[in-house]
Amino acid sequence: MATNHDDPIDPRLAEAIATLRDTPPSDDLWPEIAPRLAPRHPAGTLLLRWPTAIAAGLVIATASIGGTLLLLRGDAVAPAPSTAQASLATTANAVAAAHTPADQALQRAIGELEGRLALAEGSLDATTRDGIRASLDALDRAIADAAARQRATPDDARSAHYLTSALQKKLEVLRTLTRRTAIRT
Amino acid sequence: MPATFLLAAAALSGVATPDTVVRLRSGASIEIHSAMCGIMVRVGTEERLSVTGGSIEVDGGTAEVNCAWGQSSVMNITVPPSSRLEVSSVSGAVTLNGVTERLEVNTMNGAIRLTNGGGRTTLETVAGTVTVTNYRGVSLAVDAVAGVVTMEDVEVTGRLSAESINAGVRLRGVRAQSVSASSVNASVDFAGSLRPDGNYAFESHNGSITLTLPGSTSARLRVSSVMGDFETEIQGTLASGPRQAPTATPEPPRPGRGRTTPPAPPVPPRLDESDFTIVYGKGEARVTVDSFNGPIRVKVAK
Repeated sequence: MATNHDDPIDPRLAEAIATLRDTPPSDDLWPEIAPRLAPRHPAGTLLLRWPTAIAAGLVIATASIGGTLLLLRGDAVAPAPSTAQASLATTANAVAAAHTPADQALQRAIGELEGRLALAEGSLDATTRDGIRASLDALDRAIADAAARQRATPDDARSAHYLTSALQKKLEVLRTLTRRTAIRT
Repeated sequence: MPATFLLAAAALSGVATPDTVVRLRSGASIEIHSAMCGIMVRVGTEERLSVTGGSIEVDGGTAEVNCAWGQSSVMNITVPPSSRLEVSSVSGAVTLNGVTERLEVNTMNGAIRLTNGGGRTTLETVAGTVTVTNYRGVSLAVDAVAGVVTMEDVEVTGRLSAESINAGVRLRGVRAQSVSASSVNASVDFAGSLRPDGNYAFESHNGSITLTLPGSTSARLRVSSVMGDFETEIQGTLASGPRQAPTATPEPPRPGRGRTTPPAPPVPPRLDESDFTIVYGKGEARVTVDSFNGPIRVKVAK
């Protein structure tokens, strides 16, 4: 419910509030209640004992290293039917590791334009489509390189700059391509 | 569309004569559109627009030239020197010769070739190549996505920019106040001179960058590379970064007269990561060179 704290309080209500007094209970009930309560955890909390926790940590670490290696190997990304869809997946993976709000915003804009480009791709001739595909692949490799670099040297401002400028470059190219293909169609 | 500015039109027969001739006022805008037709534009000496292989419509101060849809021949067009020209083509090549006040060309996969151009020019293509030869103008901007950009003998008083995403950028005999040349996935080659008060930026993510400069160049070169190495044939002093400037392998000293060239500093086999500034001469021109994976070379012009 929306309230407006700037409204003046009703004088009758203020008067009633002024008459209220804090009345403590006659007996302290807490010593009786406390021993009867079992420890409680929020719904969905998973309790792990030490051996289980260590095993889970090892699994997470292995999965993380494997995922990074997969991303760094450009040829490990399976080709998808659409240029824009493949490009979107690669860029999203790369940028997910960066966690920079500005880069995430760039990624969202890139995703939107890639969606538009995918719709127009069918109207393009094979030469143009292949040229676009190869160029977006090159940009995705540059983004993946820069993202890997940033993960390796998170405190290096230059690494962050590389990633941001690679994303900006892709956004510029997609703007040009979507504008051009819109005119074409 | 009503032809309100049409002063003269003549339909003439014969292969070498134009289909349509229109007299235009000075500074008129001309838009040329084509899907598959090739476009050949020549800048004439009179305020006259003539077209062979296409149609002209004039509305106010703007003339529109169209090639028939589905036609795949070549339109030959002569435009006035004072015109502002916009050319768009899908797959037809665009060839232009001469200087107009302003020129903008867009193609999807048609090649763009500009010879003897000038003024203010913007050339853009998605999958075509761009070639500019013998240009003298105020500014020149070339954007390609998948095609090679080549410039030769280009002089610009203002800004020159050349970019390709997936193909190389080759600039030869370039003189400009400001140059920006970049590629994501291929090499950037620049051969030309640097003005003492000029600004220059060269960038490639995955390709090499080669600058061929006069030995007497006066420039402050900021080099940044992640995985590429750097070599220079021009002797410079290091202003920041590693203690010793990496240089190319020195030539063996020439024999005779008891004088030998002093040994140059040793060459590091590879600089995996570098960010430094080298000063050539008085360090007047400002140059930045950025590479991620590719090598950077500074060569002496022969």
